[in-house]
Amino acid sequence: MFFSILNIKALMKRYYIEYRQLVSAFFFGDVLERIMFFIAFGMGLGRAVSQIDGVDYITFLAPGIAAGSGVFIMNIATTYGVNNRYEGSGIWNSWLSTPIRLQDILISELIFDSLRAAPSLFILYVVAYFFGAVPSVEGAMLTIPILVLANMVYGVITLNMGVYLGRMLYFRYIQALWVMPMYLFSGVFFNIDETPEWMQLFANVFPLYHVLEIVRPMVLGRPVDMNSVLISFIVLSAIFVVGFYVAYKQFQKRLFD
Amino acid sequence: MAVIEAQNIQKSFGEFKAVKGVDFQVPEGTCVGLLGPNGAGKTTTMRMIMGLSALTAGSLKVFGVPVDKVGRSEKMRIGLVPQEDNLDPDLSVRQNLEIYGSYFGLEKSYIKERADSLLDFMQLSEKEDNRVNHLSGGMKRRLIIARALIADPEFVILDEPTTGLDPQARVLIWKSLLKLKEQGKTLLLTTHYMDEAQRLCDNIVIVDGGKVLDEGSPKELISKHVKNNVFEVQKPIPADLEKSDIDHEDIGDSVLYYVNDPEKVQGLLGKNATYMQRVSNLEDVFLRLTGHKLRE
Repeated sequence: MFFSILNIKALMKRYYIEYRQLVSAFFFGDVLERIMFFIAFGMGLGRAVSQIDGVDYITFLAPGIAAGSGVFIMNIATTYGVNNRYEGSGIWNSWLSTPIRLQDILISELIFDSLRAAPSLFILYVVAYFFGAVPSVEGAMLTIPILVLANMVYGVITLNMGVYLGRMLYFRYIQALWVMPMYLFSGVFFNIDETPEWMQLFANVFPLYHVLEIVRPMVLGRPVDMNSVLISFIVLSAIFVVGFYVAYKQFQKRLFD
Repeated sequence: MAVIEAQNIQKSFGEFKAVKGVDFQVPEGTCVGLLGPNGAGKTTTMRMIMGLSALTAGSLKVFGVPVDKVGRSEKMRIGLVPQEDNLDPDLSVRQNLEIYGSYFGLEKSYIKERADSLLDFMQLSEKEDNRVNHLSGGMKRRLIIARALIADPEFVILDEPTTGLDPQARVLIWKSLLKLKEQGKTLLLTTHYMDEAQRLCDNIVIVDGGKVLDEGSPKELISKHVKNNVFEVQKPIPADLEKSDIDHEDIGDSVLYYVNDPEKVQGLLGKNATYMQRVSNLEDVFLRLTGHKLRE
């Protein structure tokens, strides 16, 4: 098989040990910032906007903040985090001197960082629940595994951008030209359907928009259009598979050539 | 059987040719030293053996397997001590060994046993709970060597294992490497320290500019290139000596004369010559073959 389960398991354990040591740092980075966005916009802007898409603004916002949180986690992890491990501390080299292979490292990195978001999402939903912004608790819980998978897609894209750009200084481009536009124009803060047509078309470029199309109705307790879920799933899976292969080739070139 | 068989291996980075066709072998149970100035292509060669750098051309076999086909079973038999300190900064000393052991898929109890004995072997037991960032340079090197030995490999590659260490730390590392030799392990070593190479290596390959200049045992290389004795004679050189046909090399302010019989030079020195006489060593061979000029 292309991947070795044994190798992935060993790496997962190593990531877990690191996570356990730095859990508070991860908490502040992953969750607290998102909670502040949620409260500031939900309570602040929410006063000015009475209803949106048939619900209170803060209720509309909650799934948006949840779905968008992974974009940031995965960006930092797959650019700065990865770069530090293969260039900074050089520990990838030490791993590659064992039976661990490049593909095992890349997939472990994506899986672990994606999973790391699950507790963060749970906490976000708990906070939103206390603000009365989670109409369907069941639906919200079901979005967690979906968002973990979505993180794999966000991650593989920024992983490619990071290895292509190569140097940490350039990672600001990713933040400015990909992460922020995606976060701001995918409908986290407003209803895309009510925007001008060009903005609706623009939103289609971003995976977050497609993920939100699935996740928001679930949290709001509305029926989900299974056909569009299926299409989104196929498209996002394809992005992941192709993205992973391209990332693998890029890293092979950068590390071994 | 040879653990490593390199035939005409080459490596280019774009236009730059780092390794231009190197041949050498590492026979089982021996210690081979790869010596050369900075930029000679030593580290690149090591990285190619570990599969961390793809060959541009040539054939490289590790345990008889072409390097691009090397898999888990071969990797299990090799330990690498890299030049850079790439310990896992988020883990403790003991965790660095144990987690590394898990990458080889070893049993937990076996890893623990190995970690215990390696911490002891490298005199790191007292530091086992420290974060690696808090270790001195010498301790880090020892930990990296211990880490390379976690799976009890038959073959250990050491890329400048003692560079930058104080004499005490170097002696400790030499002792442990000699113990590994006694255990019958195969070693491939790069170093800038000729005394280190002379002490540890059965066979030496001198490389420069990405090519092999010569190879042989330290003794063979010394007697072939620099005889038994060296006289470093300051200029001006006494006329009798200058006229003689003694093997020599001009290094600027002085001239080096290489002879088996010291009296041969002594008789020609005259009264006023300033000179230094000593038994020749591997350093003389190295400088003779790679030149006395600074490289970088």
